[in-house]
Amino acid sequence: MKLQGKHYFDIFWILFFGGIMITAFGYRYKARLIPMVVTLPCLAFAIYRFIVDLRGKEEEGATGEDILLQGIKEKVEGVSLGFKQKSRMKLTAAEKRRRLLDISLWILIFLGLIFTVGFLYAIPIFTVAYMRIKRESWVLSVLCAAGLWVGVYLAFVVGTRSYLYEGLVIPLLRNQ
Amino acid sequence: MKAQKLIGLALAVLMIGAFAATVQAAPTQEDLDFYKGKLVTYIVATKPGGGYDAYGRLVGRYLQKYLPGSTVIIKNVPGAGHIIGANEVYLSKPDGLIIGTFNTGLIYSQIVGQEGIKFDLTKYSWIGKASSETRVILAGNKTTYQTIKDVLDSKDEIKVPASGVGSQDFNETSVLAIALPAKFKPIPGYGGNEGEMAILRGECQVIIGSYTGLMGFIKSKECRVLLQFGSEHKIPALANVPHISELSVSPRGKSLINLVNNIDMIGRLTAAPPGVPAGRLEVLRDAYKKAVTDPEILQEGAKLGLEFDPAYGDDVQKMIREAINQPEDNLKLLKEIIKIE
Amino acid sequence: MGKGITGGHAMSLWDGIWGGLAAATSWPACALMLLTIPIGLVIGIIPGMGGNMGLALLIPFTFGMQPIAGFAFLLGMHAVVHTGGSIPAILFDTPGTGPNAATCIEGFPMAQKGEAGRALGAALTSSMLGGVLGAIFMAMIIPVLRPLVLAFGPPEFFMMAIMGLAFISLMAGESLLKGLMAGGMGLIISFVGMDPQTGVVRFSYGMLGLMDGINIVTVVVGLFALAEVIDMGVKGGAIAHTESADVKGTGVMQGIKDCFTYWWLLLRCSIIGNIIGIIPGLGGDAAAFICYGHAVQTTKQRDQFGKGCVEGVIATDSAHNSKEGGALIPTLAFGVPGSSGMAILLGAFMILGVSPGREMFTKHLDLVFSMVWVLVFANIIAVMLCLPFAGKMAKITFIRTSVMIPFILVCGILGSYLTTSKIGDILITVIFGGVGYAMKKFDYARGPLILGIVLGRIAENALHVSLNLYGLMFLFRPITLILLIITLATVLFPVYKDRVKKRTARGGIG
Repeated sequence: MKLQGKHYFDIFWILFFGGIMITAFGYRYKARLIPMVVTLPCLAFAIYRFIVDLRGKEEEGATGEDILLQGIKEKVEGVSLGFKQKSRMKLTAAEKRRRLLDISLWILIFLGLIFTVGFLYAIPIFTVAYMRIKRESWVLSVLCAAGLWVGVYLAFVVGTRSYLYEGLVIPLLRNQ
Repeated sequence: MKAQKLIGLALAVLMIGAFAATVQAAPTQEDLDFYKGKLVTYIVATKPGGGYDAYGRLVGRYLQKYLPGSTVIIKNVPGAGHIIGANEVYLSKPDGLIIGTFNTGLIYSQIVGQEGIKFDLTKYSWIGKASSETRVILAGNKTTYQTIKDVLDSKDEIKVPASGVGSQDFNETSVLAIALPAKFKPIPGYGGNEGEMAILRGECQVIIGSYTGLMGFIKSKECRVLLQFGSEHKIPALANVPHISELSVSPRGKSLINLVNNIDMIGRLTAAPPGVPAGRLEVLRDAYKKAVTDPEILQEGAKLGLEFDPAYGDDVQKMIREAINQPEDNLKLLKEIIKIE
Repeated sequence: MGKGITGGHAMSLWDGIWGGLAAATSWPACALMLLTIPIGLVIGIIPGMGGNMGLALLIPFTFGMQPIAGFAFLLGMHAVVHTGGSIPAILFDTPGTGPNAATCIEGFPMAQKGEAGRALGAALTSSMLGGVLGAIFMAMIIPVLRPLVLAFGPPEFFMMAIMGLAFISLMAGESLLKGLMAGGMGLIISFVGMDPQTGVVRFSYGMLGLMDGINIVTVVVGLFALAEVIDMGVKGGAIAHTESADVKGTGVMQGIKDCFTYWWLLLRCSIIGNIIGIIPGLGGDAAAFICYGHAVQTTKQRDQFGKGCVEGVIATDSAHNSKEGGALIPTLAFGVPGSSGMAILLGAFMILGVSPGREMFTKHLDLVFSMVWVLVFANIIAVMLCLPFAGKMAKITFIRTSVMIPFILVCGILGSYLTTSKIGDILITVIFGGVGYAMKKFDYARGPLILGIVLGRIAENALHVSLNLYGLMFLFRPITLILLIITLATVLFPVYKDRVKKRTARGGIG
């Protein structure tokens, strides 16, 4: 039986509720009462779902988002004038996985930038990098980056005088 | 001959003077110059927008005025009931460029040995405190308690709302219950201003909290103010309300009341990490003193509802030491009251 | 001490209302109000800037103002923050303020369907009407104010929270079990942190940053905005999955019309939101979510919920503005602020010379009503300012993802950080981004998770306090009992209806 994505997600739920339950065990009565009341049935549900998913056939793909898109299609067909659904390429599973990895990596890159050089540097660097690699023009990339940076600066540094996290590198450089 | 003696005397005087100067660690020009062009980070252990943040930003601006050439910025480091911020100040480089403000209630947390604490309150380089937090004991209008004596004499259990086990109001209620003594039973679970609603509904009879926090409730005349504490003397607004020092209590009660009072008197404190060079610490203390006594800061503070009742440097250190160094049986008692697992 | 406009003795209701109107429209009050309304909108639109930040910024300027002018200045801003906050919620799945998280649930799917204009029209209009209706309702119940507020204590809060949680069963969509699991996760998340009942720090695994618990905005931004970023990265295209905005039935006008089509829902949610605001103890965040659940409960098109149903937007947005009006009541009547924003306002009011309490509602009724009028005008003006731009704002949802992804990612993560000022929280946001994407993909409704977070702690705490004060007998208090019956009815009625349907189908009637 090939393990699909949804099986991994079922396992995630089991691990989550299981872990919480084990942790809650260690607390005194009053502190663990309600968490246990919540976790026990949920753990049971999670295990049940996992078993059902293992036994069931591979679904024909009627996930929530397909229902949404179906809803749009129905709406589209019901309307008379000039309303085309965006022609989308049919994405293969492999292509979807590659793109998922791609966007996940970009998010991690952004996080990494924030933790090293802080928001005020991370924001323009990331924006330009992302847009350029996704083949937007230099002009647009720099404009968007500048726009975001100016907006953030005016609203939060000047406006509310908030402290925007500076990352780990900048303070080290400052103290040289 | 005479000249030699005179020179010798002059030298001796100079040496004594110099020695005295270093002992007092008077700020030298070098120390003052150190701050020119430097960035001073003032850590506030709360999110932006609360009382500590307001005081921090106000004092920070005037600190900058009296540390010529410097820039003072506020860095908010919230979390874990001020513990994260206090930790960060404690562990920062003691170069005199990082200072911070946090809740004095952390004394309770340190006494009890709360997990996650990386500081020792007695070791900070204390700069000063900006105000006292006057606290009050109120009774709801629905109750029969007209004076504090009624409360102390009450044979029934008196329910007092508290935000949570281990919170400052919970700890104070428990300590006062033993110190006064009074039959206070703290009921945890009333966060924010919920406690006042509990008094209105009659679920609880008495509430203990900060005067400024309860001011709206007091002005609405839905309650009676029975006692004040937390500042050295009565405050003008509460001239007719007895001060805790007027009560007669046992010696143990007195030392416990001192603990509570000291914690509240050291309101809006400012400290630097342990080990700041004496000269720079003195510059900071000096600038702080000038900042919180500047007539303009008092004016601005009045606009924002922020009052000033400052104390500085060694006085604050003394108060902290007094509060933490409790006799052994008090420590045991406190650990029992604040039983957090 | 700011005296009442007309004098010293008790005022009639009529005098109060007209006196208040005169005050609210006087100079310089109305000018100041016009000045701060746009500020409130901008603060609401920018995720991470809360209304409290705005109040903190404006209060220093009120020194020396007359009370009426001061109220107009502050309330003008405060009343419209959530109105602005719905805009990024609909366009980018990023709530501008905490209560706007509920708007994301239906508002963003509408944008995905190309109906952003309609969603904005409905959101703005229902915000305005909700705020106005809430103010009117509040004025009407002033006579019975005191007994009403004091009738709700911890037992009633517990039951109301349970009732709200029962709505999870309605929001679960296709699979009830999956909805319950999501709700369960939400409840657990709400338990993270120091337990007020025992002082035990739960589920923090040694991390100090978790000792205060997990903020709902942190989770919502991850669960919705970041999950959408991942989804956009995979699918490409634009937020809206359709070609263009110029289609009949999707524009701003339609949204406005919807508010009148569903006027009964709007009215009910305004009242419920107002009541929740009046009774401190439930938390204002809950208002929008409870009304959302109520909308699911009473709608005729339940299968549309979760896919972009305009009723969901109307319910949430009328509630979050009406609750602000409600929160004024305990603040003015008892000096007990109904929310943290109200605590700041109360401080400002006292500096301006106003003392809360019974006198407010007898001698200074016109001051109270001047605030009510300011709320009414501010709501109307704010929406009048936004509606002309709503159509253009909706077009943003048609911009391609390579531009939108950096924009939403930056705003979302920055907003999450600014809400709590803890840099570690952006990690939580990203983790929930992953969880949210998986939930979307595998058909787990996200609404129940949010509902669990909002109500979990309140329910548990109220339960323990009730037991502490009254023992198990607390269940037999009259209002508690009524709420219990409503809850059971909510959960059992759909089951009963299904059974009846099955029986009739089998019986071959008709």
